[in-house]
Amino acid sequence: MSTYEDNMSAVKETKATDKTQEKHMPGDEMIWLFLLGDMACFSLFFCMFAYYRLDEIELFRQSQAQLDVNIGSINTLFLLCSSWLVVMALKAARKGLAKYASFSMAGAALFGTGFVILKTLEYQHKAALDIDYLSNNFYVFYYILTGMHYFHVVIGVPLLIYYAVSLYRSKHISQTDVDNLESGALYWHMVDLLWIIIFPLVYLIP
Amino acid sequence: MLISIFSWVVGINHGMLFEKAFLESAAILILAFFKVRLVIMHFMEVGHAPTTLRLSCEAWVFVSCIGLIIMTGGQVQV
Repeated sequence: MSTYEDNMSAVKETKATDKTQEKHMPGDEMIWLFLLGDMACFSLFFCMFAYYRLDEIELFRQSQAQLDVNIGSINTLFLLCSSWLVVMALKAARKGLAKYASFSMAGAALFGTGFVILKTLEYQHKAALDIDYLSNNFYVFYYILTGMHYFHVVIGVPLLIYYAVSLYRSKHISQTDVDNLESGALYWHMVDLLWIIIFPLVYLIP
Repeated sequence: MLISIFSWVVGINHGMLFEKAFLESAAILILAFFKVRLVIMHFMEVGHAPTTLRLSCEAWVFVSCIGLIIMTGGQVQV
């Protein structure tokens, strides 16, 4: 009888340990506070865009027709690939594969740079057409939403390059390195997910 | 990736998915937020995170998605 009870308690303990192991907090509380705050701010701007769009639906449609959907779509794919490479880099870093993690991170930075180049070209094209943030209400929101996002990408790409270089140089990856990498990866995924909403909202919805 | 390419095609050919603009907007936004949820749950590893964090993220996705669908559809004047 006592053997049965021992076995049962052992099973319970194993289940409890499994549950604690399953729950893993990516990054720390501070980075999540920043990310969720940032995401909430963007949500507010998304709703403001939608609200003003209701009032001037035809103007918004005409202005939207001037945007380059192909560049926006390629940028979406760039950021998705970049995010996926960051996931690969983090997995490799956890296994201690510094070089593999470094190359994945460099690839992610490359896709991020591609995004910046295409977005800059798009802004230049708009400037050549004498379109700026004061042209009409649509472009006010176009420049606020894409501009704030562009700013996030411009901060993120050097961060990815920094990770790539430091991983390439490191011979041993410590737990602190992995924790730092996790925070950077979370930031970059947030940049990706914000673009996933900005693109259809500004460029696609009829 | 496939969803992004699909949205790309729909964005170029308006009216391909639904004739009514509201339905097409809703479909495009639902697909976008579905992708966002995938990124949050899998790439950001929130699927295995503590319940409070997971629920906060789920709430953000749900509220933003429903709010935008209603507002872009013009059903609500705030």
